[in-house]
Amino acid sequence: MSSEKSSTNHHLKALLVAFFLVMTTAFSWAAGNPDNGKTIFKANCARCHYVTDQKMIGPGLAGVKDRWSDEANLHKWIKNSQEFLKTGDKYANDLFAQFNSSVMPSFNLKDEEIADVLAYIEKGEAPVVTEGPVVGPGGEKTDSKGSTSRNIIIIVLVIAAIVLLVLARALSTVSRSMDNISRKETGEDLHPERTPFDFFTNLWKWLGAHKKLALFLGIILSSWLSYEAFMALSKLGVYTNNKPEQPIKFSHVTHVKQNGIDCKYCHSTAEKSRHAGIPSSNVCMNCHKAVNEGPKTKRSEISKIYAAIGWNPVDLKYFDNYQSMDPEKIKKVFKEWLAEEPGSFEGMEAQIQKPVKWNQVHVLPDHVFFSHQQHVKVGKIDCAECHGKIEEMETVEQFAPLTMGWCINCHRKTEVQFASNGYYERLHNYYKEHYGEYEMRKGQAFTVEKIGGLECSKCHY
Amino acid sequence: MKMNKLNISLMAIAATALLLTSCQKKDKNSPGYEYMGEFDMYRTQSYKAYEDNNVFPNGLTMQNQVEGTIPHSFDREKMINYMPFPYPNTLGGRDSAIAFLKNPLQKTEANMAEGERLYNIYCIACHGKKGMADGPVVKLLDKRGNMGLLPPAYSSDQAKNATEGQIFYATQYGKGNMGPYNAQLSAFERWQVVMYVQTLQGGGTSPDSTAAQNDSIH
Repeated sequence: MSSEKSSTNHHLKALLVAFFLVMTTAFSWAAGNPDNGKTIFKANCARCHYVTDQKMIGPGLAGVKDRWSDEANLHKWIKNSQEFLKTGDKYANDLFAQFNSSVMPSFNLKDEEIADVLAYIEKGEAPVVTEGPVVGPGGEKTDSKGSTSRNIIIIVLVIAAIVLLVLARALSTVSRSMDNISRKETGEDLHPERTPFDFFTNLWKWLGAHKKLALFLGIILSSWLSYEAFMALSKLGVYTNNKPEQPIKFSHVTHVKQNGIDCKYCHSTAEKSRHAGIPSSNVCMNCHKAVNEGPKTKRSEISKIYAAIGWNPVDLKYFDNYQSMDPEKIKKVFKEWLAEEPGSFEGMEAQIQKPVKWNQVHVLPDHVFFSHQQHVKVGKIDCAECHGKIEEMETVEQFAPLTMGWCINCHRKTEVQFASNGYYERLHNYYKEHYGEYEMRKGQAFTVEKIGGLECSKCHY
Repeated sequence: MKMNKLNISLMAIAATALLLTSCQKKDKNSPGYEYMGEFDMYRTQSYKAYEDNNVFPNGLTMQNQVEGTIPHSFDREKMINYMPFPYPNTLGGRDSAIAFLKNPLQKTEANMAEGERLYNIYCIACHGKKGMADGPVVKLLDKRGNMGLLPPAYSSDQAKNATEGQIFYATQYGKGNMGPYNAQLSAFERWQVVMYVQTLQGGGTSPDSTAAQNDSIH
C-alpha cells in the first residue's frame, strides 16, 4: 500500500515538475526583455521590418504573435525561413509569395533572444512626436521676396517724389498768380505765361551764362554714363548668383551637410563625362525607398520622385508598366498617400509619368568646351573650388562667374597634378627625358598654362 | 494748358514705371540677358544631353544603349564592364553567383586604393567607414526612428562570410533596401570596391569590429 502510495506520489511529483517546467518555459516566452530585444532587433531585423504595421521589405511586425498560430513555428521560421517553407505551412508560404519571394535570411539566435525581440515588438516603439528640429534653420528667406519689398520701397519713393514735384509746381503757380495780382495794382510787368518747357529753356539759358561750368559738368556726366554702359554690357552673359527655382525642393543642406553624402554619390559621372550629371531618379531611390518623408517638406517633395519613376509608396514596389498605366489609377494611389498633407497632391500631380525637369544653374555658351572629367578626375580639383559651398545652399546658385577671364586666371596659377596621375605619365616622362626635372620647372610652378592651357583651341573648336 | 500738365505728369509716371520694370527679369528661371543668343554661336541648334527631344518616343535626348551592346575593344576594363552579367535576378541566380562568381581583377595595391576611394564615396554613407553600419545617413535616420537603411555590419554573422560573388551580386541587383549600383559604378569599379569590402569583412580580425559585434548581439 505504502509503496503504491509512494509511486502515486512520484507520479504526482513528476507531473508537478513537468507542469512547472512547462509553466516556466511558457512564462519565459512571454517575459522576454524588451530592452535587450531592441538591440537584437536593430542589429538583425530592422533593415527589413518596422515594429509598427507598416510594410518594408518584409511585413510590419506589430501583432506578429497573433498572426502566427504556433509560436514554436515562428521560432523555426526566424531561425531558418527556407527550411520552414519546405514544411508546407500555408501562412508562411503565402507570406513568402506576398513579399515577392524575397528570402528572409537565417538568424542564429537563441530562443531567449527571439523572445526578447518578440517582447520588444509587443511593447512597440514610442512614436516619434516631433521631428522638425532635427534640421538646422527652418525656412529659407527667398531672394525674390527681398527684391520685391525693395521694389515696393522704390515705387513708393518715386510716387512721393512725383507728388512733391506737383505740389511744388502748384505752390509756385499760386505764388506767381498772387504776385501778378499785386503787380497789376502797382502796374509792373506781369510774369510771363508758363509753358511746359520752362525748366529746360531756363536751364539752357543758365548753362549759356556759365560755359566753363557747363563743360565741366558735361564731361563728368558723359564719363559716368559711359562707365555705367560699359559695366552693364560687361555683365551680359555673366550669370553669377543665377538661382533658378527647381521642380523639386531638393536641399543640399539636408543631403550633403546633414547626411554627409559625397558629391559624387549622386553626380557620379563627374569623373567619366563632360557632364557632372543630374542624378536619375533611380539614384534617389537608393535611399528614398526607405526614406519617404523629409524632415521639412514631409511627403510632398519626395512623392514627386515616386511619381517620376513609378514607385508605389503604399505597396512599396514599382508599378508594373508604369508609362502605359492609366493616370487616374496612379492619381488615386498618390491621393491616398498624400491624404494627410493638403495641397501636396496638387503640387506633384504634374510629375506623374514624366521625367523631372531640373533647371540648369550653370549655363555655359555652346561655343566653349568644358569637361568635368578633365578637371575632376585628371586635375583633381575639388568641386567646391568652382561651385562654392553647395552644402550651405537650400536652392543651388551659381558661385563662380564662369567668364573666360576666370578660366584663364585659374589656368595660369593652377599646377598640373603630375604626381601619381596616369593621365600625365607619358607627358611627364617626355619632359623629364628632354628637359630634365629642374629645367622643366625652371624653379617655377608648372602650371596648366605651360601645357597649353591658354591655347584658344583647347576650349573653342 | 492744364491738359498739357496732366499729360506730362502721366508721361513721367509711365516713364518711371517702365524704368522699374525693365530692371526686372521676366522669367525667374532664365539666367539673364546675353549678347545675340540664338543668332550667334552662343546657343546652337544641336541637341544637348539634358534637352527635350521629340524624335524619341520617351522625349529624352539621352537614350540607353541598345541592350547587349559591347564595344569593339580588347581593352580588359571595357570587356569586364560590358560583358553581360550571366546571373539572373532570381534565388537560383543568386545562389550560383555566391558559389561561382569570382573577381576577375588582381589584388594589386592600385586596385585596392581605388576600391577604398570609391567605397568612401558610394558606400560610406550607410555602411560606415569600417563597414560597421554606422554611416552618417544611418545615424541621422536612427534619430528620426527610421531604421530602413540600416545595413548589417560587415563583421556580423550574415555578412562576415559573404563571398566576393555575393557582394558583387548585391551591387548588381541591390539587396533589401540597398539599391543596385550598376548605374553609378561600372563593373570594373565595383570589383575594386568588392576587393576593399573583403578587407573590412576580415573575419573579425580588427579588434574594434569584434567588440561592436558583441555589443550588438549580446
